[in-house]
Amino acid sequence: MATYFKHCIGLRFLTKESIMSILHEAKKIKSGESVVHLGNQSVVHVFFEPSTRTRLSFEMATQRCHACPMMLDVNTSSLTKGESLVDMMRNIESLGAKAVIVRHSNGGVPYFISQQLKIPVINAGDGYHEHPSQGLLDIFTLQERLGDLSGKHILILGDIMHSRVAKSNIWGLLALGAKVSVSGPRNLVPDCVTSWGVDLRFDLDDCLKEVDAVNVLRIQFERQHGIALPSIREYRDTFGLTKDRQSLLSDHAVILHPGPINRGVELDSDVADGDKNVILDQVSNGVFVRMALLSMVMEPLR
Amino acid sequence: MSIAVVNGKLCDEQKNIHVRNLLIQGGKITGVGYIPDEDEAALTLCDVSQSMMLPNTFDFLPLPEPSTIASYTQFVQSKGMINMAYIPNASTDCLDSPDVLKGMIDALGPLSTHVKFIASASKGNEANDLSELSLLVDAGASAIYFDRIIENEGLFKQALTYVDMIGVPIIFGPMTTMQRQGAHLNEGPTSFEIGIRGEAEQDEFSTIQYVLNLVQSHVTVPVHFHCVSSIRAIEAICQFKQASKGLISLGVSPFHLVFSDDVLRSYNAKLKFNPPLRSNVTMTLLNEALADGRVDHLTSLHYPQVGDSQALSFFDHPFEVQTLDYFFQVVSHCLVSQGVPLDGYERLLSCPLSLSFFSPVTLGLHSTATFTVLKAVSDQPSSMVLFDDLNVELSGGLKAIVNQGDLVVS
Repeated sequence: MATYFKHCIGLRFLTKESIMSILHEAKKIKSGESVVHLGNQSVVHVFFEPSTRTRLSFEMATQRCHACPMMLDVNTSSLTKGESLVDMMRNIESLGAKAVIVRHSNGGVPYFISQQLKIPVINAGDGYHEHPSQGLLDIFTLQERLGDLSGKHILILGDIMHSRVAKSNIWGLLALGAKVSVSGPRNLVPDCVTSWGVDLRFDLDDCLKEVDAVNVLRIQFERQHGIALPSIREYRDTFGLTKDRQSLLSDHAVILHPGPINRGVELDSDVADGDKNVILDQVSNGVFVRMALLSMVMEPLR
Repeated sequence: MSIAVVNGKLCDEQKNIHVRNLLIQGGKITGVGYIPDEDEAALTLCDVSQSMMLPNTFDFLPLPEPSTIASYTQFVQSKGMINMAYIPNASTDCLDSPDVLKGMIDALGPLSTHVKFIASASKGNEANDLSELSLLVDAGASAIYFDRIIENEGLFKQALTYVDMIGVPIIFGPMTTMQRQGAHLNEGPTSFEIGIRGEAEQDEFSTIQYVLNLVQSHVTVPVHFHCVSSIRAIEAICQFKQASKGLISLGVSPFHLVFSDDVLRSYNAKLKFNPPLRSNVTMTLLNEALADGRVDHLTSLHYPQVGDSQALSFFDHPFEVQTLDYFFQVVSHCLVSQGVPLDGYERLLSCPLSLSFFSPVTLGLHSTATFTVLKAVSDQPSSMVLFDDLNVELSGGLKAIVNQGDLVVS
């Protein structure tokens, strides 16, 4: 029995049953067992931040769900004339949109919009808050490779502080009973994650021997806003997943990356193209997971 | 009509604390210790026992619209802030010309004795803009304000040297890099969890450390940091103060002493602070700094409201927006709960002495009856609704405001 929910703002707000339901539906969609038909309802994609893969993935998912994706270019919208965000979103709702997918550089904006609208809101990434569809597709990919994630040990490596992907992964993995560790430069790994039940691991090489998967985050050198980061070379030496470090992983362990990859920084090319990587699986699974998300928030409306 | 404010504590010129009764008539104090027992019907009695009477309350406030300067100043005084220094307001273009400054001083009339103006050094980034500073000082500006570091280090050094030559104090604002760098994650577990942009403590510390290095080599005039919100920055300033024996002081907002980033969980726009709210751990450490005397001044962070800015969503709402209404309530709570000695009330709420903006007033016969009364003991903590919807338990409280002989709040 599917567990429906109205909005998808973050994995923190979803129960284990809801997450399992989405993953189950995505699996059925991928296998062809389930066909989503949303009756050509309009889904408006409002991206206030640049995006390539998430935007295309959501667009493709909307089309494959037999719904109409409507892409709003915020740079030519009424926002430029001073219209408020709420007014704009209410107008979109009044035009007949049945769901909105929102990406914004401020954490909390999709949550705020969901409080204002009656139609479902899906968060496509909001600032430093969450990126739930990315978290779900990562978990879906892990499940494909590792099976039941309960008790599995997943390491998230990189800039935890500023990563919405990390947070969605943490909430989702913890909900499914996985053991989650984080590692990265000391100033980019906040201590408070321990209160969520996450382990801090700064002994990367030792940790790699224990884990079932490593989710390597992209180091966003362009977004550090003055935070002291080691040089690219130092980062690679200390936290980069090099070929040598890859050899520390157990045979069944896999490597994930949300993309785009900084080759030679957080991932060596040999690793990015190696046997353990599931990076392209993540991309293709993203469409199925997003189809499942759309179906689960929109089906109850039909 | 006469007002008798009885049983209040006050500091004399020697900083001794006395309990006094004050009789107020015609805006002046006409009796100290003596309360007439005749014509009681015409006497308004205000019992302020176990409270401090503070005639020198002072704060830095962003400049309002120049045309409203007099009414705004009266409004601020009616809220208990008697003296004020107007700092540049990022949202307006005023206070960049000597004529505008002179016009405002004229508009203030007698109120101008309670007001100082501070000119902006970092508004423009061109060397030409610096030459205007001496003209502004000639026109009446009492200090120079840096709301941020000037990115060009050479120009920053030049600006500091130039202000040093002019010989007026330097006020450093919250030193935020949020505008310049687009902001990054705020500090604290809640901010991390829900992804609130702001400014990390580390950034404030780094900025202040950088500024202190430049101050050490380029500045001999008094320096004040308007609002500091990280403990490492406070420690750095205090170390510098001890090492240099310089005229350096720092302010803290009492809101950073009672709220942590937890309250931001609801995205309540009215709780957006600049510098942003910190973690519970930092809040505790800041309270310790208040208790052990490392803090020199408590500042309200009050920002004039423009239009319907309070109605904006959290994301559109600018940082810095505050209200003066709750300031003294929260200050009293902080002072009482941290056990700050009574003379500390006067020190923390007056203009830092090193800035020499105002001559301290002692309440006595014939002095103007303008003072604010804060509770100085903890009785039963009372639950108060702050910022319209935040229920907080506070000790102490604002007892009374007497403005030009009028009892505004009792």
